[in-house]
Amino acid sequence: MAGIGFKLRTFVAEGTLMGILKGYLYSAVISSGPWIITVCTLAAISLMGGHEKHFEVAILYVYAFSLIVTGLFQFIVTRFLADRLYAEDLEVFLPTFMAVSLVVSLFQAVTGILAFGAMETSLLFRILAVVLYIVVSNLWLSLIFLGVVRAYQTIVWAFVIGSLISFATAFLLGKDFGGEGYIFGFTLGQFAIYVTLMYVMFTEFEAKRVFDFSFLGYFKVYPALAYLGLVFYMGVWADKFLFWWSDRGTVIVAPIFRASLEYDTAGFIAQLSVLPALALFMVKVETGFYEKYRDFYGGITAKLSFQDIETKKREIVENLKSGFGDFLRVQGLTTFFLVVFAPQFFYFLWLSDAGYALLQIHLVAAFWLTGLLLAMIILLYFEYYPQAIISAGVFLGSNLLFTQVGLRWRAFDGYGYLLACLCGFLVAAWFVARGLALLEFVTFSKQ
Amino acid sequence: MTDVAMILEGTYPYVAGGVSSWVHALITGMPDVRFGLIFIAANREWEKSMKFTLPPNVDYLLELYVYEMVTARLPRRGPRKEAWDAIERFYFEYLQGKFTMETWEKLYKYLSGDPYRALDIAELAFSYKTWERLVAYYRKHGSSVSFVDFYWTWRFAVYPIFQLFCMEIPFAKVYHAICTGWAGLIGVMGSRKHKSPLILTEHGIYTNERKIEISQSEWIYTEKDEGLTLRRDVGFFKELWINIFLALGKLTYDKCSKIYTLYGGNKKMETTYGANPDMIEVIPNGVKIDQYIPKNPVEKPEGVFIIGFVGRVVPIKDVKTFIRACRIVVEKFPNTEIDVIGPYDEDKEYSQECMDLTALLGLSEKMHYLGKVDVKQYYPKLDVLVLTSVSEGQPLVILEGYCSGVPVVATDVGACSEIVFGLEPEDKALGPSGFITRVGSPQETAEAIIKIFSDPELMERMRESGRQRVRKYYNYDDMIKRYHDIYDHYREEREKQQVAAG
Repeated sequence: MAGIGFKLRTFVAEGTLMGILKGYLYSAVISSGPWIITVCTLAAISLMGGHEKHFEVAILYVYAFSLIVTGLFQFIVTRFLADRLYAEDLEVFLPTFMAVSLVVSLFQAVTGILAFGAMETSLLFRILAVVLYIVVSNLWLSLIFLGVVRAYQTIVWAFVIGSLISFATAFLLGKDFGGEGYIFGFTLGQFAIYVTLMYVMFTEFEAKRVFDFSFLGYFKVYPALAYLGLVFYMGVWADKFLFWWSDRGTVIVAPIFRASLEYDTAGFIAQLSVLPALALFMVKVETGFYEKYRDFYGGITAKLSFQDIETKKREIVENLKSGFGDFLRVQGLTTFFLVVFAPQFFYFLWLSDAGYALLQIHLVAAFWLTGLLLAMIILLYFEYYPQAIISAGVFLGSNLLFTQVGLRWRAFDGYGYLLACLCGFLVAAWFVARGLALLEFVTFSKQ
Repeated sequence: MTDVAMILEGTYPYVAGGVSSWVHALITGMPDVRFGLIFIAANREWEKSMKFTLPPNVDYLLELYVYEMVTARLPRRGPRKEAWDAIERFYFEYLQGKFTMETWEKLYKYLSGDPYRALDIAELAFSYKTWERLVAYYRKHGSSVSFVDFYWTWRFAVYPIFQLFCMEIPFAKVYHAICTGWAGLIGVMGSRKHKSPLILTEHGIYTNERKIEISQSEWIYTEKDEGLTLRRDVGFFKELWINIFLALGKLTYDKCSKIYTLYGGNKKMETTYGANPDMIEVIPNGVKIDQYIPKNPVEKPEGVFIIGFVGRVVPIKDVKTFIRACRIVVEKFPNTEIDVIGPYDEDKEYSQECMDLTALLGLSEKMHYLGKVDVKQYYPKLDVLVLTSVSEGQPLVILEGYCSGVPVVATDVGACSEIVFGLEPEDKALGPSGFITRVGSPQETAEAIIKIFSDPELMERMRESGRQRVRKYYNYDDMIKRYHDIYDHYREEREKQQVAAG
């Protein structure tokens, strides 16, 4: 008599438990990469002031909307690839990239032509703007793919050299050829990065077919993850959009390209201030935290007792506490220092005197925003996807609300954004705390 | 309206074998009784193909999957605190090998239906409350064993129970479980829900089979032994699993109106596993005697003794002892032919070893491996049927041989000694229809065969005993009649109840 007893052996060792360790393949770096690069680029351009306005604003819009659109794919494709990597199915990487790239490029081409096509500049400029838009979007995509296989060195070198080319060429050509020159040079550099990364991808990965659209299935499986990128990036840009279209903004290039230069500049420069701490935290996550995280899940499958599992969890909590603690202290001090000396910095950077108040507010906002980003990444590691998107949603919602309401009073400028960052961070932090407290329960009951 | 719901775990109609054939024979043998089949499997992905054509008196075949993930929520209005207390009590009992009717009743009350249902499967399997209780139990009784194994053992042992409480079991006048385990549990459930009697027939003893399987299994985690002391216990998790099946078995025994089994040895075992011996009745398997008696007289070669071995060539039948015994017999009686009747492709390695041994002992010309043939043609020619099995239930081959009056030399396993010497005094009075030997002793087996060949009078007495025994006690028609009477009895009881209830 067979009985059902025989069937029970299927649960041991396979499937259900091993899947836990998939999480480790997720990389914290990928999540913040595009944002870091965007910030650096835009800050650099704002600082090297005095050049063609249409170039500046074209860059602004290219980066803003490429982030938002690719944000829709960022997290879900990362998860899809991590799963495939875990299953040792590397063949799907290149075809998936081709598929995503096709979808995104087509979409960006259409929207780019519609949007930039209306720009009141020369035809060459408009064409280059659309090309840049598509290229930068593809750069974000390739970051995802190379990031999952942790080709960090490649990525960093490509961006460093490419950016140098971008800026150098842009300025060289810009002097003589104006806006078209700037944008041509800049696009050239970005295109160089694109070519480099493509070369790396095509040589690293083998493929048997051209396109693979199976990643689309993940939108159904992890809906929260799918819209996370979209919501978060919209949250980051929401206040800026509102400013652009309010009386604080001006038309830089007709008909629709508005910006609020003082406000925007303050935002990007402020964000620069957090980058060192962000980078440091990333490194800490990849090493210390990840080890503890892996020990926790590994310990479960290694048949530890419950008490030992709890101990492993506590080590994760300790590690995060110390990491966050360091971040709060170091970055807190830095931000404080920068806030106090903001007027001096402004003078030093040759910016107008009046704007430093805005910078101060944005410095503090950037601090909380980074906290939010870090907390979200931790949530993603533990697959707390709904919690991550709720945090991003709170951020987006409160940004829209507070900024819109605050537009009535000039003195309130920037505070809307600051409050939104703070709210988002508090919500995310609360989710992290609760998620860690319930970690054992969630780990087992999810299966 | 269905008369009898048969509850089948891992057997008829998707698995071939002795039990399935018995079920099929029972159903086809009483076309006036309406049957329902409740088949239990682990989950839907289990591969299956029908091994039998369902007879026309089968109303339905319902498949229940005990490990299926159920997501639909059910209405829950009952008292939650009482329900959780009952669950806690249940865990405590169950993981220690008990499952009292009292606890079962409470679970039944709070889990299976309106208006008292307080919890459903989603909450029972996945809620934080369940987790808390599980961890509490672990801290108290699990000390420091592997938590992941503890969790999954709990899940696999407990989930089906909760699942079954939430399932719809169709009405039947009588529930007939064909083993304990999950089938028994469903029987208990159906019986309670629809207020119909539950009866049980055990072929192999489920609890015992699981116990052996678990003890020998490699897939259940056993902590590595530290230090020099030998482990005499089976380890925390194996013990847990054995307890779980013990509990299920005992629960079924308690709820049954009557327990039936094939032979006395089984009855003893059921008693050790908690059944009340007064509730147990032996109804042996039966053979269709006419089918095994040849219509025309059979050509038996003169002056030749034919030894028959009917069965698959597999280790559990210990064919090698048989081959060695044959060698000894052939020394004394060179005019002996040996027929090995049964498939030899199930365990090819073992079969090859047997054939090599046959050759080595110089028996290649006398020993014929016939493979799967129509055994009915061969019984009438045999002078003796030999069984050297290490483990058996109630071997039908002995009974089939009796139809043609074939004496038996069998090992003392399962029902063999009962079939050879008789169980009840009247049965015993018929005289032995063969010899019983120890397991794994070619010498004893050979000596028994030689005794039979040497003494024609003894052989004739044994032949007669065999013929009478099978006709009197192992007749298929009698078996069918007994079960038919049983069904009638319980059916009527149920119908009376229904009438009384108005």
